[in-house]
This record gives sequence, C-alpha cells and structure tokens, in this order.
Amino acid sequence: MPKIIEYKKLITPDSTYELRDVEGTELCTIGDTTYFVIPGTALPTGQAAEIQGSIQLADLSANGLRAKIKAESPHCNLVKVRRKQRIFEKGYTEEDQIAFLHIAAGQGLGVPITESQSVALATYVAVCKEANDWAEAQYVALGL
Amino acid sequence: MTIPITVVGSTSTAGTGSLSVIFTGGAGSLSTSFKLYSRIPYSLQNGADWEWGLGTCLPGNVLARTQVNSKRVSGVLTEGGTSAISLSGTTQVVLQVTETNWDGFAQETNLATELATIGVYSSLIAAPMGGPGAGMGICTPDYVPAGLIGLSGYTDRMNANFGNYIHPASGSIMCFIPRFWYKWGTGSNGLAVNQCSIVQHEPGLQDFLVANGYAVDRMFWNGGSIKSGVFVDKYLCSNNAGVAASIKNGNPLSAKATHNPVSGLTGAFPNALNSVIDAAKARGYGFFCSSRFIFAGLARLSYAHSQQSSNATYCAYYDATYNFPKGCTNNALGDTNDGAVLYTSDGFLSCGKTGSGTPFAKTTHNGQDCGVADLSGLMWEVTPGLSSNGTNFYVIKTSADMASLTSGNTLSSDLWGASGLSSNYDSLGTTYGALTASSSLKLYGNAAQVFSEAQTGNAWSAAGAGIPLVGGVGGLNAFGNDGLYDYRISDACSISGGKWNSTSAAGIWSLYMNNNNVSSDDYIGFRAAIYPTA
Repeated sequence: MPKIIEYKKLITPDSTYELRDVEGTELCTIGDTTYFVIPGTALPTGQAAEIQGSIQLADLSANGLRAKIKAESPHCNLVKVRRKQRIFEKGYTEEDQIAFLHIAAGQGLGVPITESQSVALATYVAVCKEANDWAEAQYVALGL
Repeated sequence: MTIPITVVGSTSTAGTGSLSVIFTGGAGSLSTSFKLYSRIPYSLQNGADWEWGLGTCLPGNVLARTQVNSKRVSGVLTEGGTSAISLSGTTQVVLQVTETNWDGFAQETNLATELATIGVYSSLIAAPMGGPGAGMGICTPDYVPAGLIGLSGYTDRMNANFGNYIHPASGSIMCFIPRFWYKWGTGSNGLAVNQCSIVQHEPGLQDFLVANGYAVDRMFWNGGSIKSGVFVDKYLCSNNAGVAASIKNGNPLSAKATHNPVSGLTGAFPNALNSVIDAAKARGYGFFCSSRFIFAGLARLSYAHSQQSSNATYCAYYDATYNFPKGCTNNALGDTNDGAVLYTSDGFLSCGKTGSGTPFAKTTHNGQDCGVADLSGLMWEVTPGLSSNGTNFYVIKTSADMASLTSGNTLSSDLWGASGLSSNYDSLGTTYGALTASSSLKLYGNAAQVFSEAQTGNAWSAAGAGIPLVGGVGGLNAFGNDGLYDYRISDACSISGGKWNSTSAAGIWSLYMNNNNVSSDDYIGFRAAIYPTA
C-alpha cells in the first residue's frame, strides 16, 4: 500500500538536497515541506544529512493535508484531466453532461423523464462511475 | 566621433606569423580600437618588401595574418593568394577601417568578463553564446547534404527558424550546429573552475585557439575528419508514414510494442534498442542515430549559454537556481523544476508528444524557439558513443563514420560485440573518471572540476562524451543534478536525457549505462543526425 512521506528539501544556490534513488514520486511541495509517495512504509535511508532527519510519514488527516496535496500536485491535476477525458472519449460533450445534470436534478425533484432519457442517463452514470473508479484507483496509487 | 579611414602602426615582430602591433603616435591600440576577432585589411612595408592581406584582431594587440592576398619581394609581385613574407627589423603596418571591424561603431553585446579576455568569435554563419540564435548557425550551402533545405527565416538569428532545415522526403525538421571550440575552466587556465568558453570555428583563429587551450568539440569528428557542423533532429523521431521523422507533436517512437513501436515503421524493425540504428538510417543516405557526442556537445553549448545569460531574453529557461533546459520530467507532463512547463500527452502513461512542451523555448537547448527540443526528459534516447564488454569501457574512435556503423554485435562494422569494439572503439580501461562500474546512480556536478580540459586523447574523448572526472559528481544545480548511472554491462548501449518520470535525474547531461543493445523498453527513443559533406 503506497504511503506518503514528507521531508524538508534544502535548496541552496549551488545544490539541491532532495530524495535520491528512492522508488516513488514527488507529489508537491507545500510551504517548506515536500510530499513524496513511496510503495511501502519503510522510510528512505542513506539520504543526504541535510534532509535525512526530516523524513517522516505524513499525516494526511491533519489540517486537510490530503485535500491540499490533491490541489497542489500536478499528478492529481493530471488525474482530474484524464478523468474528464475518459468521459469525453465516450462521446459526451460539456453540453451533454450539463443536460444530464439537469435531467438528474429534475428527476430528483420528481420531474418525470422519458424512458429514452432514463436509459441515456443510466449509460452516462455508468461512464462517470467508471471514470471515477479509475481516478480513485490513481489516487490510491498516489497514496491518497 | 571621428572615424579614421586607416590606422598606421608598426611592429618589430620578425618572421611570418602574427604581429604585435603598436599604433604610431600612441593614440589607442589595436585591441581597443578594433573589434576583437574582426577582419582587418592590412598592408605591411618591411624595407623594400610589401605584403597585403586580411588580418584578424586578436587580444593583446596582436594581428593574425589570416589571409595573405599578395606580396612584393625584391621587386617581384605575387598576386592571388600567397605565403607571408618573412619580416625583420621594424615593419610599418597600415590597417583599414571597415563598417564591421571598428569598435567605435555599435557592436554586439560584450558577453562576459571571460569572453572579453579569451573571446568569443561571432562569424556570419554562427551565433554567440548568450545572444539570439546561440549555438545555432547556417551550413555553408556547398556542404548541405542532398535533400535538406533551409526553412523560411533560417538565416535570421532572431527568427524561430534560425538554423532550421527541413528534409522534405520525411518531413523532418533538423537544426544545424556549426563547428565550435570549447575550453573547460580549471581555475588556472584563464577560466574559473567549470566555466565553459565556446568559440565558433574560424580558420584564422585555429592556431590561437589551440595555443590557448581550446579543443574542437568531439561531436564534429566523423570518419577521421572534422566537419563544419552537424544537423540534428529538432524533435525525437516519430512514425511518419513508416519513416522515423523529426516532427513537432509527433508521438515518440520506442523500442517496445506497447508504445509507438519501431516495429511499426517500414522495415518492421524488431523492438530492441539496436533497431533504432537501422531506423535512423532508413531516412536516407548519410543519416544515423544521433550520438552521445552530439548529445553531450549540445549539453556543453547549453551550459555555456546558461553561463552567459542573466535573464530570459535569449534564454527562456533562465532561472537563478535551475538554469538549464526544462522538459517532461515530473511524471505529470511537466518539469520537476519549473511548474510553468506543460506537455500534451501522447496517450501513454505520462509521456508527452515531442515538441509539445509549452513554453516551447524553455524546452530547447538554447532557450529559444530555434533550438533542439526535448533533450531533458520525455524519453531516453539511444546515443551511440560509449559501450562496454563488461570488463572495459569503450568510446567510439574519431575515425569511425557514424553512418557506416551497423546495429549487430558480430561484424567489424557493428556498434556492439568484440569485433566491433576492436574496430570502432578506443578502450578507456576498466574505469574512467566517474565511470567506475559502481552500479549506482551518481549526479552530475561538483564544486571541483567536472570535466577534463584536455584537448586530445582519451581525456578529451571522454569529456566529449560527457563523462565527468572522478570528482566531478555529487550533484550541482548548474548541472541540473542530472543522473549518471554507472554500470558496466556487456554490449552496453548508452542512453541520454532521461524520461517523463526521471525528475531531477533527467536532464541534458544525463547518461545511463545500464541497458544493453537488445533491451526493449517503452521509454527509450532516438533522434537522427547527419553530417554536412565537409
């Protein structure tokens, strides 16, 4: 299960002290803290002395950190973009999707819909669910 | 301002070489009155003998007798190009002012303190570091390979197409890199440690450059001779109707079935790294898979350009800390060190389309639209030049013709195998510089000297291939903290630049030695190159 670790990256005019040769992906830096997803829970060792002491597991539940990382990380932004693309690729335009939202909202308020609208809405919902499931799997892979 | 038509001076230098000139009357000097490295028509009167020619203004009030046009010795006139007369005693020197050699006219920006001392020559066909068109140039028309033509604006340094050519048969866009000399700073050779001075080639300067520690970049040696430059693909190769072509927004080819495979090209090449040798050649006569020397030469150009740039005017990737070309490196279609860079996906993992990075100029070797793109990240590139038999490291000989080297591991023409190594490579021994077969990742850059300053021999070849000195690693921002994967496997296939998720280890210096010739990977592509005919 991927885990997110955090550490204090040190950048001087000449050198950058950051995680080296560690399997995983740097997600983002928020303030002075860099977040990095690793495949397991073992903290990286053998890193530069300038950063080794600051490496620890991140507490995603504290201060809305999970949401902050999702907002800052270019990887999460890419997941969002690709989630949208997966729906577009099924042939649904922005206008189509707004129309389905109107239909669904109306249905929730008791507005009757036709059988063909119902079938189309169900198909659209299935596509959205597939895209959402895919996106959620990506977030899990990123430790989120 | 009063501008003279001619300037009179004298010299007591004897012989047929360059002259140390003193202006008559003591007003000014050669080096302060004439633009360094400019051409100066001259006349010499030594007793009853005369010489007329075209000189070059060198530092230290020295006039090089670059081209002797005619002479009159013992009453006999010789015209149409001749040898220099041998001077003795005092010689009168008359120098002609022109619109391009007089320093009182508006001249190009002085590029740096070092350049003022050592000098960077800017000819009509090449552009100096730090300025528009840096590291690019125009090929002498007679030397342009058949099938290549200049794009609109290719002669204009300010144009996005400066030095850009097209190969219409394949649709490939290629950049011309004119021959240059470089000098790597040691701290005691006139340059600070790790300062890199680049001087464009000029025949009249050759002796001066050699004497002052400059070396022709290894990238211009091919088939035993030094070429006037090299054409390099602007983009990674993609599949254009069966041909591996350098086209903006192409999906970069790889050597694996799952990602734009080379097996999809005409010829159905096997999906293995050595296949890209054949795929590059299939574009036409003279083409070859761009080499490690070309990649490292472009890195040197980029490094020198960065050192000469203090803002983004002619160096879009300029940054006070991360001053090097950007690319697709952060596993999210962006750059690890620059959040403004974004690529368009090619549909495979986090790989982008080649040339799709925006702002585009940030992704080229010279930080300008005219430059070579995607040398940092996106896809590793097969770059022949270095190999190994598992025991020794090898570097390709200067006598080898890149377009004649073949993709196997049995023939004497092959890039791999005992016979090919013996015929086409020089041995660097079991270790060389930072290549110690440590099977570990090292990072380019150190406060100590990173590359050899050698002008010849294995040390020069190794520097030409971008092999750091043993103390030249550890990681430095100026070198992008680029990665050097220090392996010594049999039939090693050197790859350069990094890929879409290599983060800071990707970069224009990056070199990995852990793949062999038959590896099949979805993250390794290539670009082609071709030398001019001379």
